[in-house]
Amino acid sequence: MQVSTFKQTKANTYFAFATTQLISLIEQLSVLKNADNRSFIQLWNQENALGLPNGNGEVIGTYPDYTIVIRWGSGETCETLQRQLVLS
Amino acid sequence: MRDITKTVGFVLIELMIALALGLIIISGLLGVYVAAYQIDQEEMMLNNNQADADLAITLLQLAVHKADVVCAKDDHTLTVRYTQNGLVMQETYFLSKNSLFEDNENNKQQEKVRNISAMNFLFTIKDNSNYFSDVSADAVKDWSHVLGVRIQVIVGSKPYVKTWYSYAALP
Repeated sequence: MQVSTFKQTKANTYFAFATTQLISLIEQLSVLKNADNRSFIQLWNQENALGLPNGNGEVIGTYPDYTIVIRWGSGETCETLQRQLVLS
Repeated sequence: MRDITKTVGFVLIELMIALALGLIIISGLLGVYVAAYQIDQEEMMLNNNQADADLAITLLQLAVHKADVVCAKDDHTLTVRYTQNGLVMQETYFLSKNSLFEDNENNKQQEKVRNISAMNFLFTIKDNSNYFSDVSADAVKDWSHVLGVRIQVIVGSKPYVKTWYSYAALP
């Protein structure tokens, strides 16, 4: 039971990290607007890889409509966080 | 006639076997206890680190979100200037003795978050060719041109250290 609680705590930490990353990218995209964002997304993905197990992210769409996806874990523990975003 | 060879109680070999079995059971239980204690400690550290990271990042983001302008003397300190009731206010965030401190307008230093081992900032600027980049504090020529702040917070102490990343855009 203790091991399963510990796994849940770790899962919660990863979810909190992914949420912070999602908000971080939304803030960055709101600054960049329609400028070239490739280097920012690349750095953001490096952070995803460092902070999450098998972490990677994807930004689909163009300014101002984006869908941001973050995936981490593997097999049964694979998690996804997704958010649609329309910048004004 | 009474059998005088009949023994009452335990012989030495029986006692030794019982003792050995007892030791095996105790060492097993001790191992389980130590493992459970270690898991408990690690879980507590993870929870504390997450809470401290959340608090530090939220505090810094809120500070940047209300700022008219940000500035910094180095990459580990952040100063925000904002207007409140017609007055220009200033807050500086810095690290001292593994704690995040806020130095406000009255030069009153308040410890805000503990358990922070490092804090780094980069500043987003736009050059003349509409290219955005993150630069360190010493490369910023005009602080009014800073559009956002990249925040890196390292929380916890060894072996439970985790780096958290965030970004806050100026309004």
